[in-house]
Amino acid sequence: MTDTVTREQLDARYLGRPGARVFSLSFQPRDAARGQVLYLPPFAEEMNRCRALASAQARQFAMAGYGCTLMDYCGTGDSEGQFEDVTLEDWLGNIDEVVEDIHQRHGQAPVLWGIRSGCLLAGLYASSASHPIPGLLLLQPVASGKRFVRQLVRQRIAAGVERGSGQISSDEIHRLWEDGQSLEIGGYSPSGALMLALEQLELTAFKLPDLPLLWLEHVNEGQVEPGLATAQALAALRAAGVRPELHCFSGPAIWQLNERAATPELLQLLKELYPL
Amino acid sequence: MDTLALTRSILKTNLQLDEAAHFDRDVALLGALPEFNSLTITSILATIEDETGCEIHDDEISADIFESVGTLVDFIDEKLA
Repeated sequence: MTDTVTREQLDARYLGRPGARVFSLSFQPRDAARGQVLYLPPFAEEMNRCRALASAQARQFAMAGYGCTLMDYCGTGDSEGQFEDVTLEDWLGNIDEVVEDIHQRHGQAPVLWGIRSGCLLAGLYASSASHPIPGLLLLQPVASGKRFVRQLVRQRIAAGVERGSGQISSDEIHRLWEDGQSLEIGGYSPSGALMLALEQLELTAFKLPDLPLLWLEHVNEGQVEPGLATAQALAALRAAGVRPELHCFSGPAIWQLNERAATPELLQLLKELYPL
Repeated sequence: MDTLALTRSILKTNLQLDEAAHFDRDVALLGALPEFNSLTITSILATIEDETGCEIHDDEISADIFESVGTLVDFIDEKLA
C-alpha cells in the first residue's frame, strides 16, 4: 500500500441549488470507514493558508480508516456564490447540506473538524444540528468571534497606518457594516451581515455537553501550557459541562504564515490521535 | 524577560525572522522590512496583548509605534507601566 490515496477513493461533488452550489471533496478509506470527519475551513486568507494541511490530513484520515470530507463555503474556493453577499446563515446551510449528504451516503453524521474561525461554525452547528454530531476536533480555535472580528477591524486600521493614509475608526467600520456595506480587509470584502453575525459567536456559549471535544493549541517551542485567553476559554467550557481534551503542538503557525511550510509535528500529533 | 528581549521574541515569531532575535533598538521596522504589513502589525498587537495581559485600544494604533524596535519597546513599556 502506498502513502497516497488513489483516485477511486476521492469523490468530488456539488451539492445544493444552482447558483449556490457547494463544492465538497471526500477522501474515503479502502475498507469500511470507522467514522466520518467534515473539515470546516477558516475565513479569508487563513482558509487558503490551511488548504495544504487540510488535504494532507484528509489523506492521513483516510489512511487511518476515517472518511474525511473537505468543503468550500459559498462564495469561497470552488463553491458558487459571491463572497461579498454571503451571510452566516448561508454558511450554516452549506454545512447542513454536506452533513446531510455524508449522513445519507455513510449512515452517520461526521465529527466536525474546524481550524481557527471554522471552529466557531463547528460549535454553532453542533449545538443545533439535526443529526447529532459525534464530536469536535478544534485546531487553534477562535474562541471569541468578538475578538476575531476586532483583529480584522484592526487589520483595516493598520492598513491605513501602513499606507500613511487616513485612519478609519472601529466605530466607523461598524456603522458601515450596519448600513449593509462591505469593507475591504486584507484583500477580502466580507458582508457587514457576516461580520456582525460572527462578532456575536462565542465558543464557550454554545450548548455542547457530553460532546467529545479535542482542542489542539499551538504553543511556542519549549512551552507546554497555552496562553491566558485559551486557558480561560477551556475553563469556561469545563464549567459548562464540556470536557475538552487539550493537546499542544509547536512548529510553524501555518494559518498566519504567507509562505507555505511543512507541519510534521502537527501531522504526527493527529496521526497519534487517530492511529491505524 | 526585559522589554527589549520580549520585543525581539514578538518580532521573531510574527515576522518569521530569525535575525530579529538580535535586533538593536535602532533597527527600523515599518517601511524598512518587507515582512511588515497590516497583517503583521495586527498579529504583533495581539501577541503584545496575549503576552502582557494589557489591552490596546484602536485609537492607540499609529505608525509611530512601529517606526523602529526602540519605539515598539517604548510602547510596550508604556502599556506595562
